[in-house]
Amino acid sequence: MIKFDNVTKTYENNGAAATYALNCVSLEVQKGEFVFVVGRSGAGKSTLSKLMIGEIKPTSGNLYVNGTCVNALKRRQIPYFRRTVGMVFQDFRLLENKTVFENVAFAMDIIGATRKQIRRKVPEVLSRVGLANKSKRYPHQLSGGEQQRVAIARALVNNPGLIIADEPTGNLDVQMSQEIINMLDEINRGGTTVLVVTHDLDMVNQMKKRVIEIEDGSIVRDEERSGNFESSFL
Amino acid sequence: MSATKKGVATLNLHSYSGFFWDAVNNIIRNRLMSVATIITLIAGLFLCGLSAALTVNIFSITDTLASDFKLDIYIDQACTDEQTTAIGEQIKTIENVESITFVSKEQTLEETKARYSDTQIFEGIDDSDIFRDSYKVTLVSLEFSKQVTDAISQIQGVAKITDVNDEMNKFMEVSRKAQIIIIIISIILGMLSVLIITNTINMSIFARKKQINIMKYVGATDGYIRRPFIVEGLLMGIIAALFSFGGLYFLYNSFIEAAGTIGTNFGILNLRDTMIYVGSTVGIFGMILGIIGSIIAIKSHLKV
Repeated sequence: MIKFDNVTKTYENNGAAATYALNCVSLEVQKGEFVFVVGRSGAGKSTLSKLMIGEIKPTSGNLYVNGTCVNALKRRQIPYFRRTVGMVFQDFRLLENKTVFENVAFAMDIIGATRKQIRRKVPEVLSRVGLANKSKRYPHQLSGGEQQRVAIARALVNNPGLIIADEPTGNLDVQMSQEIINMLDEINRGGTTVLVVTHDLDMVNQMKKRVIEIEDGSIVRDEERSGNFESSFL
Repeated sequence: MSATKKGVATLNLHSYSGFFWDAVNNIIRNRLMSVATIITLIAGLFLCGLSAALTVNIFSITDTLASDFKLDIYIDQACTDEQTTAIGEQIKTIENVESITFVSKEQTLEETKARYSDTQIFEGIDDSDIFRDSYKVTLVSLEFSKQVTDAISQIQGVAKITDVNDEMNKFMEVSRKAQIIIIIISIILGMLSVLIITNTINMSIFARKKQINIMKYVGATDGYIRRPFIVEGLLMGIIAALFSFGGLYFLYNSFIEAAGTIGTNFGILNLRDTMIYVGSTVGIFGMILGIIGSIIAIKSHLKV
């Protein structure tokens, strides 16, 4: 599902030595896996997720998502690629002037779904995230956890094979964080590959999933978890 | 779903009604800038429409003048009645002269007084000697104008020959200059309009930058994102076109009525036909300016 093949990403520093955001990173995530990517701020986690959605290109190496070489995509192909990946962000990124229903429906509208298809699918997805009775509310009328659930519904509505969640619980309290992670776990059990970028170690330890740790742009640890995860950045 | 265009369903028209109302809301939200944009557009389109009205009327008047193949031959005031008659007989014999009509100076005085009866210019003037006897010479065709003029100028007693070509040339020269000035101002105002539309749409985009980013992350194409802003520019162009058309309609209608009171229309085109040209011109240019302004504005904002 995801394959990083010797990927390096550097940023120029106005004549000084380049900064290595990622340095010769190779990893593979199989279909149906649930993976945490952890590391301190500036370790390279965000660079990883930005590369995966084609927001930036690697300086060298190749990156494959669901068989597509992302770094080889032309600019006009990127929107079509992004429709195959569901993105969930720390700040939810909902459209403030649209209702819950419209926020989710929007993801179907851009791919040209008919009104009939939208009317059938959106309520189904909203039920799955427990927001069927709040479809007419606006984002500012929802709690943080509910807003994130709308974002998850939007990420799910086009049946992507992969969900990338970048700090999905960053703005939430413990209880809401738990709800969100449980939801992502349930989605994963349905067959969707889930990759969660986070620095919430409590959540990581609780879930006992595969953990990839990044430090200074390199992978320092990649293991299946069955016990407690301790990290150098704690 | 693969990362190609395959699998994308056909475009849904219901999206366009959504874009329309989005555009209306944006125009209302940035009403100050929208009003400034529309006013500038109105000014530019008004001149554009004026230029169109002028152009079609130039053609119409030119056609009318050209179809009236007449020369006006003015007889020297020193000639007697017999000499005046003899001059007429000589003119009749010139090749390519179709017919001639004698207009006495008394007749000219009466006609002039009647034309300017609503003014006091000729009040109390009864002496027809301020005018000359003349002949209206109809030619077989306008192309023989020079040949006939040259022949008539050889006849003794002919004081002046007024060629319809002279009038037409003078008219064309003045009209051309007026046209050039109007076109230059239209172009300047057009460019200014594009600049202002760009600015207005920029503000609209800036206010929705976050929204645009979200749309890009969810997989919206550049075309999808562009659409509501293009509709916004187009709408402003259409609104401005309607206002400028209204103004031009009123102006031209008043002009037609004024021309009618003079007693002749000189070949001026009627209201309906002129407004068809004017309406098409301001409508098309209004939409084009609106779209160009939007496209320029959004080009730099789509890089995510």
